[in-house]
Amino acid sequence: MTNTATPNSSTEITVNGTRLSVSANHSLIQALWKTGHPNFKSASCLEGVCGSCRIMVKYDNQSAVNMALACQSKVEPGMQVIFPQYLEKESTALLNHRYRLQLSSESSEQLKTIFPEAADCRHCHGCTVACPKGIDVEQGITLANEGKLAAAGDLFINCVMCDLCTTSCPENIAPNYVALFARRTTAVNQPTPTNLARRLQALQRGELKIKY
Amino acid sequence: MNNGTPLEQARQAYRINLNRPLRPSAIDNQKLLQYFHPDYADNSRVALKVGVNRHDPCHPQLAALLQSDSPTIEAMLATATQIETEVLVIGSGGAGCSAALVAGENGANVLIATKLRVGDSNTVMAEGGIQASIEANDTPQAHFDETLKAGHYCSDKRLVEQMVLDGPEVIQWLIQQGMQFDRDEQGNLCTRRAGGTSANRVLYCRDYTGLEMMRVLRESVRQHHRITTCDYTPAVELLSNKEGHCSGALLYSIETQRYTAVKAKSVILASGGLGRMHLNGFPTSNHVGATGDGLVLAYRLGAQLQALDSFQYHPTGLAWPQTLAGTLITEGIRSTGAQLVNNSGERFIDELAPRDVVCAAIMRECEEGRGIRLESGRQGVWLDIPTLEKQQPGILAQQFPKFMALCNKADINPYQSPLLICPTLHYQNGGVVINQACETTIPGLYCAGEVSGGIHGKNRIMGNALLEIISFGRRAGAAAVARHSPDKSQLLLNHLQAFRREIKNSHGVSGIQGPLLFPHYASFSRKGA
Repeated sequence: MTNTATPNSSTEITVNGTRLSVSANHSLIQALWKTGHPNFKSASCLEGVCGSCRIMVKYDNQSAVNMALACQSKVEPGMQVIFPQYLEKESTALLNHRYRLQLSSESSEQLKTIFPEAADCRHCHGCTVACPKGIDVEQGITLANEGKLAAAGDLFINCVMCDLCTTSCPENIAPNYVALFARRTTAVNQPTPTNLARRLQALQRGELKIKY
Repeated sequence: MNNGTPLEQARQAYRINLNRPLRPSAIDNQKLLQYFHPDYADNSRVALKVGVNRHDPCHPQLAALLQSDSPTIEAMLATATQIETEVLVIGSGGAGCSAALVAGENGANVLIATKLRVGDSNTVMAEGGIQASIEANDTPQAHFDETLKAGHYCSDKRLVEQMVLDGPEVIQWLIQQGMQFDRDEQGNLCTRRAGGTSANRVLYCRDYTGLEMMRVLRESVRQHHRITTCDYTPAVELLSNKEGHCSGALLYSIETQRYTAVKAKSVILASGGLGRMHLNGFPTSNHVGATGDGLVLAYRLGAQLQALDSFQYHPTGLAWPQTLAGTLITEGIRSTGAQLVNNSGERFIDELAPRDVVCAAIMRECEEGRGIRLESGRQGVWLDIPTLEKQQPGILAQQFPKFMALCNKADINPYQSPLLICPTLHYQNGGVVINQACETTIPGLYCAGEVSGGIHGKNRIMGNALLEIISFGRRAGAAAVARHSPDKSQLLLNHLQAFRREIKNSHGVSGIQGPLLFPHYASFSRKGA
């Protein structure tokens, strides 16, 4: 038995504009596989942490379009699904923000240099609406602009780097990359943990040899 | 034989119970493994017929793949675009990225070729944490001893020694890359205990350790000026020079369906494991690309492999609902006190025994009629989460956000309802033979991470996989750059022709083609194959 066993009753859905008859009681990815629609480019971890299977989805009885992850979404009759394009590697949102992590008390100044667009946030909520993980992305940008980098980073603990917030931002802010910088610079600038520091010193002194 | 209790009936019979005694076992752990662990079943191994490991035991499904023919023909190489790099890294999980970063730091130009996108790997899903002996009441010696013991003393001691001594420095390096770990009020790193160990040695970032690690390493790689990455470009064959040394690889673009031949001074194989082969029909916790490609490629080139009949079935894969079957529930939740319970509310195993023993104990409950049965006939046991939350109010929300998200998707209320779990194929214990510098038996070919073998013996403990990938990944990167390769060598497929002849002569043709690249249900096919 594999993860995709047991066929069930079928139901009609629309994926990227094409009507498909798929079996119910499956995740969207499982259902597409079972119907023989290779979708390998948009599936990897199947646990909702890699961000590769992000979708725009509209359910039959709703007018709103939501962002979600296909591996975590159950097939529902009449659902309409689009797998949006990924950001191009050459997109400015990805290319413009080059930096080296450094030990510095000036992290929030560094952030302004690396991500100057962050200050232009017009609080349109687009990024927050776009997040399939329910992160308050806009609040993260607000905190980062206020210099509260650790708090900004904390909001993004479950960010899967799907880039949907970056895609949706009209000011070309790359919120998930701002948050990742905030998290990384916070980590680097915390004092070395005492238990780790002690053990590293003991190892350096050669006190901890292994006996077979 | 009793078939266990139907799910709905068992659910209604379930009660929170703060005082469950552990049922004494009539058989010892060794017998438990022999009778009930999938690795020990009669049909779990055959002898390989061809290659360096001829006559060695190997799982039948893996044997068929290792002895498969290749769809690669000379014309694909002849018409391929040729490019050159100093170090080629195949795979982009934690091992591949750390190898590339260190190779880049050491001055080499690096190309990462990866089947999906950079970071799409098992690393990103790792929840439990990473082992490093840093607590005052713990020693690297204890880490060493317990890794060996859990692996049934089948590990290469030199590799384990090097890895446990690397541990603290690996953590420091990860922090320097920008990785956060959970800390207590004094700023110490928090630690918890892994099954089969005596001390708190697992460091973590909530239950998102792998996600946090991969986010940080992926960004480091992306920011590095010496590293180029190719997404959706799996290696489909290694390439060799006249001496049979590794000289590069043949890559295939899933997007353009074209081939590229990469010439490299050193090739680092960091392509991960094989859970998506669904050995013995098990569900898996692995990502879609875990199809054993690296083993196939290395074996054809003549690299020696080891322990090909040893796999880890993680005790707690979700068994219900069907849409999420196989999804992992972190061992971290057992290490904070969650218990395993059978159909009559009885504890039957020390939840922090080594993973293979816990797995066998669960299989036993199911086989002997004390499991909980699904309509499909598949059985599982309860992971008693409501009792854990009752004992330690708030622990779920505080420490296990990924788990809570899973419950939400599964429509399970973990405060009231236990989770039905059964073992899920999780990890390949063996793999390509390496030494302390990650060199394989083929000059020019290095391995790091799950594709390599020798570290975990016949059973791995929680947190040693994340340690291994960074410890050996960094060493592979450094060794690959330091290698002296005098010849500007050729890119040939001679080794493949020789391997094909051997398959033919031994009548060992398995009728399938490898590497698989994707599981069969993804309906993928390679052009020209």
